[in-house]
Amino acid sequence: MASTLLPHDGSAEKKVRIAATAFMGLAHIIYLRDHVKGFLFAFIETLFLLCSPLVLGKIRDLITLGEPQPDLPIKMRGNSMFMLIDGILMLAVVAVFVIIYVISVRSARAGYREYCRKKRFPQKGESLNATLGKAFPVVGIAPSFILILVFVVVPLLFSMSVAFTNYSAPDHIPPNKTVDWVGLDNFQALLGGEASWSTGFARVAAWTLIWAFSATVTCYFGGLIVAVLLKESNLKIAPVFRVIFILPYAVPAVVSMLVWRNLLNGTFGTVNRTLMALGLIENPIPWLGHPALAQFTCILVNLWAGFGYFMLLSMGTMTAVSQDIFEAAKIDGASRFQVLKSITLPLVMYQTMPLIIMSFTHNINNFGAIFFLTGGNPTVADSTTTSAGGTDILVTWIYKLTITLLKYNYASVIAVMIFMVLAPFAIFNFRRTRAFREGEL
Amino acid sequence: MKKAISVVAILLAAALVFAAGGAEGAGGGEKITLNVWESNNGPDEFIRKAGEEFTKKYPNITINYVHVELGDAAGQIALDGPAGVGPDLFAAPHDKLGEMVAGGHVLPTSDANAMRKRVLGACSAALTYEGKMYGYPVSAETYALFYNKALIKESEVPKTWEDLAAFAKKFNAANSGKYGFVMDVGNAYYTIVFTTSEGNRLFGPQGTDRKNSNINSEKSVKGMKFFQSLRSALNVPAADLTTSVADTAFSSGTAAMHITGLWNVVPFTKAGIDFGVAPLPSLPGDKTPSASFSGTRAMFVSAYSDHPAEAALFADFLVSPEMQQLRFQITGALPAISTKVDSPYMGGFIKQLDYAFPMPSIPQMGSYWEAMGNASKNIWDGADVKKELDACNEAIVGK
Repeated sequence: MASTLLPHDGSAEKKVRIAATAFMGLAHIIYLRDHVKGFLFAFIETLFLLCSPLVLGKIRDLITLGEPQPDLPIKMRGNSMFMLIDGILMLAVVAVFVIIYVISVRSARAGYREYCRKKRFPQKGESLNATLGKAFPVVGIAPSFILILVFVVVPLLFSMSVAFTNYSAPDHIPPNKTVDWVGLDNFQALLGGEASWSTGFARVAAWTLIWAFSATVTCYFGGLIVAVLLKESNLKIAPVFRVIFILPYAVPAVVSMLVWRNLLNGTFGTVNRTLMALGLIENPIPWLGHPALAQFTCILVNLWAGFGYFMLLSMGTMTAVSQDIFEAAKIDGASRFQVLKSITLPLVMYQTMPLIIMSFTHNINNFGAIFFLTGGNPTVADSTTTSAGGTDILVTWIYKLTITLLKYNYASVIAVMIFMVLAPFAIFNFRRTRAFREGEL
Repeated sequence: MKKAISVVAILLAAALVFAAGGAEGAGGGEKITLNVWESNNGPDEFIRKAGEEFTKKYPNITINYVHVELGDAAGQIALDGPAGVGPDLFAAPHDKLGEMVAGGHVLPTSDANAMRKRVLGACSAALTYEGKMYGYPVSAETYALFYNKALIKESEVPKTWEDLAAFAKKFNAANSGKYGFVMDVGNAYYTIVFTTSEGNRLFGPQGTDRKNSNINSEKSVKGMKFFQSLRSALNVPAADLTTSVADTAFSSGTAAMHITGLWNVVPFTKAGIDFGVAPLPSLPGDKTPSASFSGTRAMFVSAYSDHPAEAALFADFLVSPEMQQLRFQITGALPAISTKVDSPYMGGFIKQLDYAFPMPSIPQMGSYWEAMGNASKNIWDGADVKKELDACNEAIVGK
């Protein structure tokens, strides 16, 4: 029997490793007498080998993205986009298989080390118990791991890989025409190619950052100031104001943005007409008609719509601050301003800082606030070429590129850029949360 | 792998033959449901009613209306069709035809020669792409000059753009807060008018020149310079002059003239405006009304349909005189066949249709709308005409 040949002194380590690497589960079966595990691993490998023609075919399609088949009717032609997503899915399957393979080899080596230590094979029950105990967390996590792989990682990789193809109208829309890999051409075109595209990209990217920063800061401090005022004022009817101030946040943003769009129309809008009727202004103010002013208006309207949320947030945090501190300060003779400056503000800001970062990342992708208010208008010099207007942020530009111009490749490049800007913020925010730090202990 | 494909191909071919056979013996056979995409606010009601009539004739076929807006259909079919959840028949404007044929999303008209004889010449021309006819026209449309009879006498309705500008200037000065003339100046559908003097046409006389859009030709530049000069008659920045704003100005009685289409007849009547429709004014140097885009709304059989023969049968049914009358009663749109309709506004449109030309339908048209719309806005706000139109041309034919 094979087992009798297996020395206790660890000298067969290499033999076990080779068997385990040669075929999944082989070492378990012939050396370690662990048949349950061994056959399970062997079954997985057999299954994979049976599927391998399919897997390899899909991966080959991923590399070629299909050949043109002008003779076939449309319905039967290969669709490059399906090949792309199927291929990526298959890569995920291969990745899972490789992980299981590594686990099986490790398990075989661990089994041999255990055998050397105990100088005997584990008894039947012993082995099963140990396996179940060890396998429990793996089995428990596996479903969510697979779900994340299929529904998060694969779509992410798919949308990113479009940035490296020429998937765009009119000549590269499947299934009639195929899509090809073009490497970094799209990045080159947007970042350093034709002047109007690269200036357009720089302009939109810069405005996106300015927008996200100002929209966040104005809403945050606007909300904070109102919250402090309401608290300090000791008004009997403060709750009424609180309700009024939260209303803009409670109305769906789409509706209120469309209403503002009409109110602020430079010529026909109620705002300018009222101001002119009151004699406050001579000529209409181009709220949404002049690029810089339209940007300012976006931030202003966003402040109107968003400060209520931060007001509630700061109020909640303020209520949580212990009254003892305030009393102590009062006894020490601190003025109300000193209390505000040295106690309330630092405590509230400390508590809400992670939310500012979250709000910043949200505003970078705040599609509704821009698209429904201005639709990206007014146009500027490069709009004719790039279709990006003066108030378009990256995400609304992506919308125009995909929906109206069918330039999925450029849109994907921009999406990748946004991801690269946002990922550090997301990671930073995540690492700051207490739950994560405590998890490290 | 190859074998699997051929097996699938044979099965699909068999299914097609079976489906076609089913249509011929339409009296009985398997139950079929056709999914049809159309816009709401009128066309939906038409499809539902026509579907009921159709089912009376062919009891085994039922029509299922799905709401997809006319303008979205061409983009949607590219995604839904290959995924297998698309419609059997869908409505789209004819200018998307090139894009859809290039994408392979639509099937040719089943009996093109017969269809050509039945419908208006402008419609069959619009639906012909590279010598082949696609789709079934259900209505024709163009825009014309609407005038509010309370603000402008019928005898005063201008015949030339210069007269219009002169009237508007006078009117604006006399009536503060009112406008002699409004139009959506940022919409390439309307601003094309100014590039059409002396037979200058987008993408050449046939609308098929992919290399040169003609949008920056000498005549176009001259015409758009004239467009820019109209700013003095309508001093409103482009960002404030959207379609909805112009429509509202006319329907609330603050504008005397407006350039818009048939779809606004019903809303304006409901708003209580007493208005008339006249052909567009002529451009400087021209004698006839300036040329406008004509559009054809057509039903297209999806290339991904499992029942293409039945879908074609239903589309054919929609072009019948009874259904065209029904459609006119419900939507008020111009029929695609020559049939008598009773409306005081039709005269102006029918005259304008004589000077209209079908929107080109080559795939480059996809980039035209956004590029020319933005160029028009910039020109209206004072940008250099030649430079804008050059950029526009490059955006359309460049890449």
